[in-house]
Amino acid sequence: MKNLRRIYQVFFVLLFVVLTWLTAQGRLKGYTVTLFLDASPLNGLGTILADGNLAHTMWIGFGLLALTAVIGRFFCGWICPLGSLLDAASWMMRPFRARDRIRDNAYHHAQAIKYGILLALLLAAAGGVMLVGWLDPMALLTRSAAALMSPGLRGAWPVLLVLAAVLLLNIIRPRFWCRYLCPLGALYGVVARLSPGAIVRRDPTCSACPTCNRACPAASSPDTGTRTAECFLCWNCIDDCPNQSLRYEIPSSRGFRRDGIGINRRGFVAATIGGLAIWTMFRADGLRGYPMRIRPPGSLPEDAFLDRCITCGACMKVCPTHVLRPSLSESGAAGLWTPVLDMANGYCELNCTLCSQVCPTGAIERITIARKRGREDGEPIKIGTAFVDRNRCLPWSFGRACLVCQEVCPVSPKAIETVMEPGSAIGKPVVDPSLCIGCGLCQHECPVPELAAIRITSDGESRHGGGFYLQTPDRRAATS
Amino acid sequence: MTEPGMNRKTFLKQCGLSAAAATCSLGLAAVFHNRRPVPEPEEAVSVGSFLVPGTERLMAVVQGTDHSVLVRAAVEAIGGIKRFVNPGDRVLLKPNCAFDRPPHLGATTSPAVMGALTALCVEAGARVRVTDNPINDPEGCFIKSGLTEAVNRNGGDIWLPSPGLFRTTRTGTLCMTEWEALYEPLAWATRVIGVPTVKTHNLCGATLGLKNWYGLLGGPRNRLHQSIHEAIADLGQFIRPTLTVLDGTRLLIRNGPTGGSPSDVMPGHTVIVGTDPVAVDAWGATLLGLSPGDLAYIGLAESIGLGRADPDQLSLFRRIEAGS
Repeated sequence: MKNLRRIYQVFFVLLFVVLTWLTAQGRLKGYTVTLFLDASPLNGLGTILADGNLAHTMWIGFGLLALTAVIGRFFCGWICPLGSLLDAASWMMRPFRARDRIRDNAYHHAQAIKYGILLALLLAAAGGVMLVGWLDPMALLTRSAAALMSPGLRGAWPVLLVLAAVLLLNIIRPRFWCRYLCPLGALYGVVARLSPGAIVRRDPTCSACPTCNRACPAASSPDTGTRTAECFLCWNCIDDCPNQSLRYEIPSSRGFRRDGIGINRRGFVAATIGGLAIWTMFRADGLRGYPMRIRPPGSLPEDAFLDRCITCGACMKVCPTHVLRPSLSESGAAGLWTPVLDMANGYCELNCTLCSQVCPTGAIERITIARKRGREDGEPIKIGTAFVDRNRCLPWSFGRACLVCQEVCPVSPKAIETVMEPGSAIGKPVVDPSLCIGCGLCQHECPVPELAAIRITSDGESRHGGGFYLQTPDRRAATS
Repeated sequence: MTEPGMNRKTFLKQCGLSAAAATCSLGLAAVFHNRRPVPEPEEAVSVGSFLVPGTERLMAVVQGTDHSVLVRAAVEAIGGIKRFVNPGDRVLLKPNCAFDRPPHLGATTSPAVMGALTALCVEAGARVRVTDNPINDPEGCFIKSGLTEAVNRNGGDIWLPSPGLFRTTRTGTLCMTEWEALYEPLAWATRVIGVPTVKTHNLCGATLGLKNWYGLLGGPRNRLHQSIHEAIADLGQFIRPTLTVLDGTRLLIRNGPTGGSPSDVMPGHTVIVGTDPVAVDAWGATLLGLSPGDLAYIGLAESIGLGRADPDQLSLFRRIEAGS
C-alpha cells in the first residue's frame, strides 16, 4: 500500500509540473490549470470569510475536505506535491539509523502551533485582512514555480527564499513544515479528527517494538494510538509492522484513543490575540493608494482584490511578457506578493487576457478581449495612465528626434500625440489620458535607460471608476 | 489515557460528526460558489427639493450695521419664518465653514448670522442641525469659526461629517452625474437652508450660494476645479434648498477663498435671503463689484432652468434698511 501511495505522490508531483507547464500562452487551452490551488479549502475558506465568495472551481477543496471528514487526512500523505517534495528533502537531510528516526518521529506538543496559525489566519481573513495565501502550501508552491520559471522576474527572490526555508526546515525534523506550521494541514487535521476510520493498534499481537514510529512522517505516534488529526494515512506503519498489529479500521478494540489536536485554552486565546494583532497591524497600513500599484486588467477594486488574492502567482506564470511580478512595497504590507505590473519587465499585451483566465479566486475577474478593448459596452479597461517626464524625454529635454513611444502606442486613435512647437522640427510626445489604457508599451520601449522618460502610474484606472480628471460625456468626441 | 473502545453509541456519534462535517464542507461550497462574481456598485440616491411650494421666486436684501437683526428682518420681508419652517420640522443649516479661521477673517459664515438664523428656526418650533464637510479638520473649523458656540447657544447642534454619512448621489447633468455626497443629513432634514458667505474665489470669481453646496460633497472633489462653472451649476441641480441666506455682513474682497488677513475683509452690512438660488448669487456678486455676467456659472444655471438672475423678475423683491 505504501508503494501505491508513492505512485500517487509521484503522479501528483508530475501533474503539478504539467499543469504549471500548461500555464503559458499557447498551451492554455481551457484546462483547469489551477487544480492544486482549488484543492486547498484553506484558500476557499479565506475568500469566503474575507469576501463572501468562492470562485470558479474552488469548490474542489471542499469536496476533498468532506472526504477527509469521512476517511482522514489523506491529502497530506497522498496528494500534496509540497509534502512529497518535503518527503524527498527529509530523506536527504535526516539520518537513516533506526534509533535516530524513532526519535525524529516522536510526537511533539509544538505540532499544535499549526492550529494556532490556522485560527489566526482565518480570524484575520474574517476581519478583511486576507493573508492565507502567504502560508497556504499550494499557493506557496505555485508562486515558487512561477518565480522559478520566469527568469529575471524582479521581486521574486523573497518568494524563493520562503520555499528554501520550508525545504531547509527538514534539517530540524522531517516534514517540519507539515507537522508544525502548515495551516492547510491543520484544517485537514481538524476535520480528520471527525472521521470514523483511523489507524488502530491491536494490543494482543503488538510486541511493543517501535518500528511503526520509525517511518511515521507525521509524528502521529501510531505506537500508542494514532493521533487522527496528525496522521497522513501514509500506510508506512501498517506495512512496516512485523506483527500486522496495525490496521485502518473503524476502531472497535481497546487501546484506541481519540486525541484532541493538542491546543489548550491558552493556545486558543494566544491564536485569537494573534489573529486580532494581524488584523490591527495590517489595517493600520496606509499605503493602499500607492501609484506604482498597477494591477492586471480585470482586477477587482483594491479592497475586494486584496480580499480574494491568494498571491499564488498563476497570473505571473502565464503572463507572456512577464510584466507581472510579485509586489514588494507597491501595494502595502497586506499586498505583499500580489501581482503588479512592472514595465521594466514587459508590458500588458493588448489582445491578451490570460491572467484573468487562470486566476483561481476571481481577484482578477474573467474578461474577454472584447471587454478589455471596450468593444462590448462602455470604455476599454484602463489600468493606469502614461505620464511623459519632460525632463528626461529626448525631444523635450535635448531636442533630439525620437517618438518611439508614439510609434508603439497600440490603441487607435493613438493615445500619444505629436506636438510641433513653432521653430522646431522635432515632434514631442504628449499623452491624451482619455485614450491611454496604461498598457506600458511606451515605457517598456522608451530608449532612456532604467528610469524611462514615459512612465505608467495607476492613476485613472477604470476599476476605481476613472481618473484624476473630470469625466465629461463628450470627452472622447472632443479629442478625436 | 486509554479509553474503552467504541461501542455502538460512540460509533454512531462519530459517524454523525463525520457526516455533519462533510455536509458542512459541501454546503459551504454550494452556498458561496460564485455568489458574488463582482462587487455591485452602490446604487445612486437622489436628493429631493426642499423648496416650499408657492415660494418659488422671493428675495429680500437687507442692509444695516446691527448684524444680529438683519436675518430676522430679511426673512420677515418675504413672509416670515413660519412660511418656510413648521413646528416639528428638521432644519439642516449649511454654512460656509470651509476653513479653520477665526470669524473676523471673513473666510467662514459669521457667527452672528448663524446664531440669529438658528434662533429663528428654533423659535418656529424646528429641530436645527448644522453640517459642512470643510477643507480643514471639521471639528476645528466649526470651533474656530465661532459657529459651534453660536449654534449651540441658540439651540442647534453641529453634525460633524463622518464616512458613514456619505452616499453616492445623483448630482447633476453637466459634469458630475454621480458623486459622493453628505447624504444622511439631507435624508434626515425636512428643510435645508444654505447659509453661504460672500468671498472672492481664485478660480471662479466669487464663491456665493451655489458654490456653498460644494461643502456637501466628498470624494475626489478637487477634480471639479477642471470644470468649476459646470460643477457649480450641477450643484444647483443636486439640491434645491428651502432658502438661501447669503451672509454679506462682511466681504472677503481679495486672497479668496481662504483670506487670512484682516485687510482682506471689508464690511458689507448686508444679508440677502431668497428662494431663487440664481437670483441670490446674481445680487451677491454685485456686493463684490462684479456683475452677474462675470460669473459664467450664473448663465449656465439660468440656461438649465435653475432660476433667473434678474431680481426685477421676482414676485417679491425688497430692499430694506434695518436697524441704524
